Amino acid sequence: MQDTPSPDDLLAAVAGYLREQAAPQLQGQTAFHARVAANALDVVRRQLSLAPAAEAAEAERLRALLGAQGSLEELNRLLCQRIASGAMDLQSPGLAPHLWRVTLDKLAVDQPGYDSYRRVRAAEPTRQDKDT
Amino acid sequence: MHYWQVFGTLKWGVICESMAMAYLHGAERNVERATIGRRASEAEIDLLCLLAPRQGGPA
Repeated sequence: MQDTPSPDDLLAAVAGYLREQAAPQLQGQTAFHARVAANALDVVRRQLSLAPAAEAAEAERLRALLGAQGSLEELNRLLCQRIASGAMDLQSPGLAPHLWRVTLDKLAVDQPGYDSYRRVRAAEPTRQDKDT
Repeated sequence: MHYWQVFGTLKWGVICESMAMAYLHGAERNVERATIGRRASEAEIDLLCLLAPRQGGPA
């Protein structure tokens, strides 16, 4: 087992350095890229903490939806095939809610500040996650 | 109107993906290209709002 600081702590330290120390001393595109780099590390931090549970739930929903077994990638490939062939569409029971859940889980990692995501989340009655 | 909203949103998503591909295949090695692929999910949620709006939720 590794000692502290954890991967999350290290990533937070580097993101903070890029954003608060490096970027203000840089100029133009280099300063912009330093802030982009800090944001990328924040994406990685959110993925490390959120993706394991989200992907396990996604695989479970796909197994039920498709009546099939396999890795998450295989199940998603199968879902794409069924949608492309017309075997499944938005009227298929459970498909639209599944697609919404997948996309909201993605946004929670990629762009939790994105306007559409915040509006949809604000209208959601059931889940009270603390990511903002 | 609806058609062009869907078209424009999808186009933005494809642009995000292709910029990320340019990075992954070595054409443009910079951090901005690398991260923009993750903005494809913005197009994804906007397409869902347009094509499969949630009942009781915002369109």
